[in-house]
Amino acid sequence: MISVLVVNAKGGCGKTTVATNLATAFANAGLRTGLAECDRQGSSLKWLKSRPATAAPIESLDWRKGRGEVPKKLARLVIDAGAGVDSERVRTLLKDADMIVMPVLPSVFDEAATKRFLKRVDELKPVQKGRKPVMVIGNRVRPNTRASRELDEFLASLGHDVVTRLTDRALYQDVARQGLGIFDLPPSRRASVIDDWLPMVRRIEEI
Amino acid sequence: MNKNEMREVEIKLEGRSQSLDSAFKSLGNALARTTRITSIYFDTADRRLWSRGLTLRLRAKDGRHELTMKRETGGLERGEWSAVIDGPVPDPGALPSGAPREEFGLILPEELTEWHRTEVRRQKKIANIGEATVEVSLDRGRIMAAGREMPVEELEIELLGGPEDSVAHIARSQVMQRRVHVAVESKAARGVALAEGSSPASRKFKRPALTRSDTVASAFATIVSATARQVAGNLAASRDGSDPEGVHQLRVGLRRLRSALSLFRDHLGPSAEGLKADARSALQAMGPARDLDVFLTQMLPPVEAANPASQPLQHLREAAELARGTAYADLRFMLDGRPFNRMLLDLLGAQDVTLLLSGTPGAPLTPVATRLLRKRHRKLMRTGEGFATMPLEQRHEVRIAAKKLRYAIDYLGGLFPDDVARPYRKGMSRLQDDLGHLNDAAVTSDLVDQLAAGDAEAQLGAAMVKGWYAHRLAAIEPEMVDAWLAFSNTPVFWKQPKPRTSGKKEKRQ
Repeated sequence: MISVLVVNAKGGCGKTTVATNLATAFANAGLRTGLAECDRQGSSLKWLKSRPATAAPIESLDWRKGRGEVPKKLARLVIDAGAGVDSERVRTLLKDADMIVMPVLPSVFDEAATKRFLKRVDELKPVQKGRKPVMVIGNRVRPNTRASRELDEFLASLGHDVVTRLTDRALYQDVARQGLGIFDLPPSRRASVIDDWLPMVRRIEEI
Repeated sequence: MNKNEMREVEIKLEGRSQSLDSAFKSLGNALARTTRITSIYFDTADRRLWSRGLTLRLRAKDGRHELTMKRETGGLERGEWSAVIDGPVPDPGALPSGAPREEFGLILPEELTEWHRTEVRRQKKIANIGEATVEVSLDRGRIMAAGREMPVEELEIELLGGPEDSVAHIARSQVMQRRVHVAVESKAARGVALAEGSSPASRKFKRPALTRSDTVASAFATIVSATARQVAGNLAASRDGSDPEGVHQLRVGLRRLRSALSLFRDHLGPSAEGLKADARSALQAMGPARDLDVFLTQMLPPVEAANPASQPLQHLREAAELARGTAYADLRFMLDGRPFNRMLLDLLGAQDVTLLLSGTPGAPLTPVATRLLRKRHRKLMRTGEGFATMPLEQRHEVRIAAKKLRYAIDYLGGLFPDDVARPYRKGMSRLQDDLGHLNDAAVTSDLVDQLAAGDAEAQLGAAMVKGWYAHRLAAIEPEMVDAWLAFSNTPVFWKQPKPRTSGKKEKRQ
């Protein structure tokens, strides 16, 4: 099993977007996939409830009151950590995960929080020892803007490269409303966003 | 979505066009149907499927599309997973649930590109032969990749129902009647080689992992199927000849087979003897090609390097290269010939090895293994008595006894704890390396004499080479004696621990 922990420094960075879409990528590949929800708001669970019966199945794991059972024979697990988790909580959740995916917004207002959070994550033993990689994802990026360049520079100053940048697209909202992710769509309909996802998917699969 | 999953048992024959035609005609009376088939093979840019021995094929079929994943095993049977899909998009996610997803994980259709395609005209019919129902297809067409193409012409016999070994039986009777031979390489594998502009790849022997829960029968079956894959997997590279590894690895497969057959001799019936003899004559027929490869790539170069621009050595090299061409032509002839293909089919069809076994094949392996190892160890010790002073011919006997023991250890050593077996293995390996020099010197000496016959200049070169290796042998003599003494004092690893005595710590003997 490969398990991915999706965390944020602060709420509203697109954690659920990344977690739900990743889950659809695995599920559509025919891999038995679970999505674990740790956020009290439960947006991932709500999304799962609205998921059509015909879509590729994703097993719903409610971890809002602490870690629950992981079904046997699960091939991929995506853990949607709650908003505003502290490093202690990340440390606990990381026991179940092979890597961290961390979406970051290109906003100067987020820099201080991101810096603090990333520093604490980097200090966690499995991360420090390089056993569990941290993948930073730029989210809602408008390509070739000053904000996007500043995000790159800022993250580089923290010793992290951006694995990929997810362009700001209405498509994510459109599919999420139907309980879907972009990987539920045929390739022709996700052509505009697929290149944003390939580097992240590759890194996860090569773990 | 119509999904199905199956295991494919098939065999392919190649040969002259007329021979294939008559073979096709001879199989069943049903009317043949002719179709044109285009198959496109997909993989990621970094060959993630092929590197795991998997292929992914998309075929247009009656206005629909069929996506098929196959596993290349090198044997008669292949895993196959197939699904009819809506459009021409190769999405591994659409494959049935049995597909080996844990091996290739998530591969998005956007990551896949066409690597090669095949276009064939296929004549196909169903035939009932004996108790079996088979599908017989005669394919003619081409494989295309990277702007290159190569012709393809083959007869495929696929089992639809009936006993699993019947495909091998049908192929065997064709091989005995016509000028056709077994083709092991799939169109997919040929396409890969074409796309990469590479010659067919050789395959290294994977030592079958035996465990303490194995019986004699299950161990023997595992070993035979490993050697069958090794032989089949190196046929194309051996025929091609551009990489000496092909013939070498093919010989490794046959030697491993022979060693398994003699190792388990007490448990085998008379039909095993035939297989052993066939393997022996194939090995002998491949000897000249291998000896010349070794000579040209390993034995001659150091002598040349020490004598740059030596005319006699140049003569010798030219003679060796000429002889190598002839040896490979002979080898190809042998590989296409009846005895070899009969043996290959016996080997590939020997999945049901119980036919080879007799006595008590259900006996647990470990005690048998202990006995076998002890026997071969004793034999080596007996042969090697007085090693330091014995004549050269007797050392060759030691070398052979050591080799036999080594094969036994390779198969059976894994049944014992690794840390206990390691010093013995290491000592064995050192001794074998040293004894190997004996054989190199002997083979090289005979070979250069043959090569230089009738050419005075080359004879001078032959003398240089012989002198070189005679000296090397003399130089390593102290090391060889030392290796023997060290090995003969290394404790064996297969003795059973003494029954546990109360309160005392268990000791390993």
